[in-house]
Amino acid sequence: MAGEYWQRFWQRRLGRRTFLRAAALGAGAAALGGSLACREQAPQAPPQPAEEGAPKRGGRSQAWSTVTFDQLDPHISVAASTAYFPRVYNTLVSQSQRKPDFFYYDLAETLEQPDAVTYIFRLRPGVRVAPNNLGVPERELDAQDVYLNWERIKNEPRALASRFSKQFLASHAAQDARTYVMRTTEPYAWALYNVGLNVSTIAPRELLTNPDRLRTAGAGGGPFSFGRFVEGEGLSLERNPNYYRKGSDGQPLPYVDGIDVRIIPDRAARRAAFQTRQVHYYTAANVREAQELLDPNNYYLIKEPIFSFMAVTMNADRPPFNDGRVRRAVARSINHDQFINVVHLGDAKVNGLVHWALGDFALPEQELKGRYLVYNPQEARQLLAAAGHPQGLRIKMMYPANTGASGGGDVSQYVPILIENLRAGGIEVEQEPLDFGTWLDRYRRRDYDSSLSLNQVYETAEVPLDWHTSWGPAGDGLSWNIFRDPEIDAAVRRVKQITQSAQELVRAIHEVQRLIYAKDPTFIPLPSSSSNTLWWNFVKNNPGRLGLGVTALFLVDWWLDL
Amino acid sequence: MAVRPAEVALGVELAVGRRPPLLRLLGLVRRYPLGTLGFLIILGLLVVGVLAPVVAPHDVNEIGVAPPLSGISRQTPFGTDNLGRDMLSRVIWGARISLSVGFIAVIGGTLAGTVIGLVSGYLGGPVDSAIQRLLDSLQAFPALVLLLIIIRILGPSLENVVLVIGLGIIPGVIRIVRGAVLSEKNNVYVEAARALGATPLRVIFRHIAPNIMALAIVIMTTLLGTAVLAEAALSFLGLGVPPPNPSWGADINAARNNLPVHIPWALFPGLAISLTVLGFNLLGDALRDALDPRLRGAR
Amino acid sequence: MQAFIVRRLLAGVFILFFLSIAVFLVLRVAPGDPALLRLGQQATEEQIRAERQRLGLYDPLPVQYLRWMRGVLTGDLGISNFSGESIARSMRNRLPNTLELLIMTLVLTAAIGISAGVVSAVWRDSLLDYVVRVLAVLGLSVPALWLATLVLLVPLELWGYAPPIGRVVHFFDDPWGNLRQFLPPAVVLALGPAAAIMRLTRSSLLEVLRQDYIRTARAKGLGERLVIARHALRNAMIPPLTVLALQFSALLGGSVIIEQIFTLPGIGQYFFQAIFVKDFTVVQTLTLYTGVVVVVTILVLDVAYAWLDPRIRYR
Repeated sequence: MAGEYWQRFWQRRLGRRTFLRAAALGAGAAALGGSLACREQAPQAPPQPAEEGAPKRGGRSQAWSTVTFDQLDPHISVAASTAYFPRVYNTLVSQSQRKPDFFYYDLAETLEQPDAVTYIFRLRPGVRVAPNNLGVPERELDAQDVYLNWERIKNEPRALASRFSKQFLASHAAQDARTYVMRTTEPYAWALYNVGLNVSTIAPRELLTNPDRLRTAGAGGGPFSFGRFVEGEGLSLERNPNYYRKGSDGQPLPYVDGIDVRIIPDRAARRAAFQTRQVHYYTAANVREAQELLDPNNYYLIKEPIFSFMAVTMNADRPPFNDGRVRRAVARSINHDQFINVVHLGDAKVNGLVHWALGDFALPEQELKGRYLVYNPQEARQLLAAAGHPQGLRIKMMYPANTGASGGGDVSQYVPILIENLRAGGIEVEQEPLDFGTWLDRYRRRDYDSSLSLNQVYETAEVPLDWHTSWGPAGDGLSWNIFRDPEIDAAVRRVKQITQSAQELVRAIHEVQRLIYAKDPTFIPLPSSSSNTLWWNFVKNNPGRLGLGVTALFLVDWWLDL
Repeated sequence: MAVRPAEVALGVELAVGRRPPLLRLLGLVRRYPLGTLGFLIILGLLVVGVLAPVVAPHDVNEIGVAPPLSGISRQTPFGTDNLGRDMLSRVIWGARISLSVGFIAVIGGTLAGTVIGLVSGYLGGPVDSAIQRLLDSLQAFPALVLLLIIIRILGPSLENVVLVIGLGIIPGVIRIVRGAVLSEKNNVYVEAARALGATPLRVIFRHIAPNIMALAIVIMTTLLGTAVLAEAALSFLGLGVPPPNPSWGADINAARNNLPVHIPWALFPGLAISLTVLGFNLLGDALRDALDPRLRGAR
Repeated sequence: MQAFIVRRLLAGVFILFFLSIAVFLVLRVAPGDPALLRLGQQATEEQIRAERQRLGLYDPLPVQYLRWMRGVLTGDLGISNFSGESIARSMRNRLPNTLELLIMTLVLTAAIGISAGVVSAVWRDSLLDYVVRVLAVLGLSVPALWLATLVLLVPLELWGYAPPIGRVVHFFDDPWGNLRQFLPPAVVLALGPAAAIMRLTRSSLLEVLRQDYIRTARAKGLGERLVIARHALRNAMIPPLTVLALQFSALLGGSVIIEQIFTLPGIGQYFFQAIFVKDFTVVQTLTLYTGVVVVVTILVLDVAYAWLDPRIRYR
């Protein structure tokens, strides 16, 4: 519903939560991933189902989505639909952002990088299209399919991946039936990540000639194909008997016959559906609800970091936030621990400029708590006095008032705490609760003094860093937040060009964050927690346990022990 | 022939003789037990609402009065919400919000509607027709949807919620008042006034209006209940009074995220709403029975 | 009679015209950018402008209006700005759900309301009457959203029971499942209107029973039951049935919340979600559609009245 739309909005193409909910089982990530220093062939060893018993075939997984599907076009669709493209189509290779060493080789069998801008994908044979009534033969996908898909992404202005292709895709070609080459305009740290997105999947080229069909149906080389699709009500996926990956019994995966997705915007209804087995998992509102619901005889719990967070944004183009001391005063007035304890009931961690869900890319917790996220209201008052506000300060803060209609990411939980915090530091907040649409408009146009809001899901450190640059998170130098500092700009640009070593990337991202903190940033993330998802016991070998993040969506190794 | 409330009152007075006010009051109570109950409920809520700063044991936004989502205890008789705020205080302050929204919206809306209804009904002709068409158009719109759209334009704030609810009740009031005016128009005293040279304005406001008064009061009382329900519905959908105002509807909605982990959080605001609306309805019923028997059949 | 119908039809058309302009303008005045709401934060300025272009938002207002009206009048309901799905198809999927809910609600309202009202009037001032009247006032007072929540979650807590959620169970596939899904929301939705109908029926019947011709019927020696059934009820039913018909529009509003709580993909939810993402075409078309339904209902009622009572025709 309205409030959950907030999730939908921010989960747009990377609907993390919806992805992970649809994911299933998988043990033995290491076996799957291997360590990939040179990014070559990854062995596709089947996961170890050890304690879970022998896989059973049959049954249908029951999933849910909090928002309706707009359409099923793999390159254009937003939000909820994007969770299901890895199920139906293939990507060349996907790199987990949680565990950057894990690469899921899907359509590509090997990847060579002769230099920092060239990517040579050799395609896997035997990736066969599912049976369908869309006129697509059940053939193997080849490099021509890949080429045509990326051509479409390049030329279709509404394609979500076109942002990457416009800026970085220099050239691409299908050198032969099994070789596809892509060259980027410059070294780009997240090129592979963009190649592996849910919205960069490869559909059979026959479907591309008539994109209208893609709106409501689809079939490809993935483990499922789209079945019944009723707008507003739900979606079904049917097993692809031609799928190339095999289960431990030698037969093609997936083990289940299909997935049924219902649209349940309301949290209470989801909970009721879960407890009566109408859906097989449920994401609790907070850790307490999860603990109270958890009945070990029936459920197990999977915790995963949440990739979005609440943040305070200050507009550096407007007084008083053009003064770094004022910004620092705000930062010093925020009691991160209180948010952790009260809003998240202790089950959360502080967020630096790069959020903790991104693992190594975030600064170490001790450093954050000891140096940058210090709660010191007296220092705040001193800073304000030094900046010319000895009596304290009055600021306007806007926030979307009606996203909480169905729970989740509820700004109204944060507001009272923030007001109290800032008051201790000598800052009086004049609240401006706005209708969501109005707030979004003004936020984008930077027509605000300060704002409190839930931010989008950020799978990589790229956009969190962009928030502090002169081009901003949208890359257009106009929207959301602009911070003009040539030193930061140069440092962030350098980061984007690091392609050779993960450690170097991590180090550089740490340095940039320290640099930004020294300049008193305008964008302050607040603590975020993990999601707590309860699963019915009969869902075995759940890839969600692997901690891979969205990449787990490509794994279909689960089965239902009904 | 319609009987005017003034005559009824006079008749009662004459029949009963000049009894001491207390006995008269007891007589009323005996005749309208439910109405008295309703009146007492409303009075109690009004007192609580007005005295909220005094009566509420804790600050309504004070975080961590007790652990979040704790149950009924001596310190927090209604439990706490997810931020550890005292629910009893929130329900008490919620009374203030709901009642003030209700009263202002309804009084404003009824006044506006009554004036328009009076003018429209009395003048008749093209003015009346035009207004009627306008009303019909509005009626063709599902009310909730209309409210939603308008609130989205105006933005969430206490004032806008009052405005929207007030606007929402005007069409209904106009209809009823106009109907009453149409039947009053043919009464003898109107003709007499006109014959004496009274201007239309004077006829409307000096002669007809007092007789509509009883009707207006009864309408208002029932509408108050509707207004409280409307405010709850709007807050439930996230479009009502924005935080930090403690609204009953918003609390029910917030609680649904945690139900049934913590039923008291949703239970008490809901009970509060029911009690308030019940009070208004009982009072309205009794007023209708007492003031204008003619209305018994109308609703 | 014919002149009367024609006049009413014209009035109806005028109302709908006015309604269409009103909703069209109101939506465009409201702040919030549908293109931005659809594309999200990562969209560039260029993409947003392209989207606005695609939605036709850069055309002058009269052009946009005419484009929409032309579509509606030729039967092309258009496509949703947000999902690209044909509105007609969405309606076809969703309308049966809302209709089933509303029809069940109306039937329940009539059944409960009228029978309770009759009982209450006939055994006036008895304990039964008293109990029914108290229940009616309670029914009017309890907020539906709260009750619906309890109805959904208390059985879950106590018995681990929940109705089918998310997937619509069609009647012909599984009658019992269908009833399990639609009855609870219908009952909750019906309580308020049933209470109102009950009071109206009661007072109307009491009014009628006071009339002279009833006394005559009694004097003729007819049994009380016959008196009521044959003479009183018929006339007493007119006000309640009128109000029942008019409640359709009100129920549509109430269904927004109920559909949300019980997860029924119906028109109410469609409306609400469309308003939220500023899906102009959907909101406009749906508004017009509901307007048509209400206007037609009122028209039928007016004609029925005029037919029954000739005086009305010449007003």
